[in-house]
Amino acid sequence: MALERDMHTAQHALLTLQETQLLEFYRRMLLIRRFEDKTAEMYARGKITGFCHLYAGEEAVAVGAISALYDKDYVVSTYREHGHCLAKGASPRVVMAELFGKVTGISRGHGGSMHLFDPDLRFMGGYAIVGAGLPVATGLALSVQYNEGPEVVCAFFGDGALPQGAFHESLNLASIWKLPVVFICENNFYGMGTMVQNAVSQEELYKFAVPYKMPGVRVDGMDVLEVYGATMEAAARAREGDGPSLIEAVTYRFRGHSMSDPAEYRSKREERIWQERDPIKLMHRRLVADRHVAETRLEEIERQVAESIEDAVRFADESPEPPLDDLGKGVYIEE
Amino acid sequence: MAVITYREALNQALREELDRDKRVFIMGEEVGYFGGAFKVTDGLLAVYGEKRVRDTPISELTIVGSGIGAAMGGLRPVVELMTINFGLLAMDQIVNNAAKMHYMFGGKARVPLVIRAPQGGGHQLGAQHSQSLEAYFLHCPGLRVVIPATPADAKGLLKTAIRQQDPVIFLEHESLYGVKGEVPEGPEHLVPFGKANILREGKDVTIVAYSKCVYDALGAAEELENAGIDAEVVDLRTLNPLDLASLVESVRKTGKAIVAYEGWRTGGAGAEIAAKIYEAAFDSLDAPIERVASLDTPMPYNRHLERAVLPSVGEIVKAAERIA
Repeated sequence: MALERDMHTAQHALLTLQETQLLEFYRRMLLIRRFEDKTAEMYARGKITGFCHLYAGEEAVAVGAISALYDKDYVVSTYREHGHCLAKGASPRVVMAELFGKVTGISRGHGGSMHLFDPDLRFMGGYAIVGAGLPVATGLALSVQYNEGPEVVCAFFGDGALPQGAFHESLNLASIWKLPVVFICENNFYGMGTMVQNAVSQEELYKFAVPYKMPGVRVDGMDVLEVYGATMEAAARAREGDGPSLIEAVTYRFRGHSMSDPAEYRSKREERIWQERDPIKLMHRRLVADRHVAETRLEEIERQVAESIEDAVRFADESPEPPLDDLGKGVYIEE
Repeated sequence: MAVITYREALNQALREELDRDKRVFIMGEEVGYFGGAFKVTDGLLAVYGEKRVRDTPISELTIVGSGIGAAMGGLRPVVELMTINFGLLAMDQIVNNAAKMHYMFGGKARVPLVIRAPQGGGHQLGAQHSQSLEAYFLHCPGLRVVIPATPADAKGLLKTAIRQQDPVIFLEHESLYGVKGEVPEGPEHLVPFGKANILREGKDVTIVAYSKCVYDALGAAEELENAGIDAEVVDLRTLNPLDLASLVESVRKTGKAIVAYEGWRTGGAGAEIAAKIYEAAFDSLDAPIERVASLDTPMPYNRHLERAVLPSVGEIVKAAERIA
């Protein structure tokens, strides 16, 4: 079965990957967690406003998948995207500055939490209409295939996107044209407050790969090494010209749908069970127990991450607002 | 200059741009083996192959969305929607993505995408296949809205659309595909956006039109001439950008204006055009601006009813006689 096979892959990765790479997985996950914790704090203090969807709990998906890509590979994301953007290499400074709405932000303060974008990092945007990034990802993959390029496109979306037409149309088109896309579904069991089984006829989401004639696997989205292994395989397949794959990463968001959601539709018991499966704690245990990494090294990473988050907040806070003089400009490239 | 049809002019533009730039490709329903539902892409597949003339499944949302992605990836997609009516399924990608990405992503995203679509009534195709929806796109910042009336403009504007940087909604009228006209030869016949065309000069009343209504306006001008009214006919060519300067200049001369368009009267492009003329040239107007548009009703199938819903030469003449 998919899960068994991927657990094996994960164990294999744990034993064979270089220690520096494993530590990098840990560092990136921790960076995202601390970034999101700080974002919640800044939101509570009124520094960040608007809709803001945090990624805490799901770090293993972004880090596992994006670590399996090359820098030139594309990532397309959703409105819960801070994690994907940071994992793709964005500086916490420019992401935090964007959340603060500052001109130094990654989208110059025009986008906000849901619309981060950096073509140099090949982070091709956060899309705030559920499923709407999938056709865009499919088209990016078409451009790769058209140019006979080596890149793949990694498209993240939630379980909430499954009932959208955009999901089915995109998988269909990517399949018939054999486009180099890895579709990664972050199944956190809730589309806002609606449970997946109340929204999707087939709650084993990876099985939607079957009608679209592509490989589909379900992996433990709390295990960065499982996600990494499955994405490596799917990306290699895409790069070979064998077409798209669907990965369902089973995960959990530790906070509500957005900052305004206390998640009262979930039981405390359920939340506790998933907290115990915290992907960062899991990686910490493995590094210490299986790879004999010294606790002091992990503490050092923790310290560095904390510093970079403090630096990001300082940068965002001290950055200027976008100038009012520019209002109305920049709607068109050719004015 | 060769005399060719509007359809042939579009086909020529596509061929020339496919020849000029390897990044240009065409995608849409039936554009390849079928040759296009209105035969605009006829013969292109045989010359350019399946890579550059791509038949798609019936998935408008994803045809447009993947056009956006391909444009972001550095290509120059020309997406065909079989008719604008089906384009409503793609409105999310057009309005929420294509139109907004450059601005929303801080100026870093580029979406040089052309979306071509036929529209308009007059063929007894019923309520769901007889619409003129330009106002929907005009309403949304970030889109260029191009709407040619003549074969020469069809070619020149399409070539400009393919070469520029912003997303373009390129609206063709189903009744115009067979219209013939002189079209400049050679691959550098480009018509700039935002430059209206004065098709007939006159001093008594300005008739502002675009797409098929340009021909109604010209027909009305001829009838009005017999009645002693000297009408000026302005073909807008593009609604965004809008050549307000030319409109104002014309209205300053004539003192009266009629806006003729096939969209529904309420909330139509004509309302916006009239409002802009009022704002810019109220002091030059000697009479209220007249709007000649489609009746606010779903299009009926019956021939006589359909004719009565659509704007006509006669209605433009009557409007002119009211104010001139």
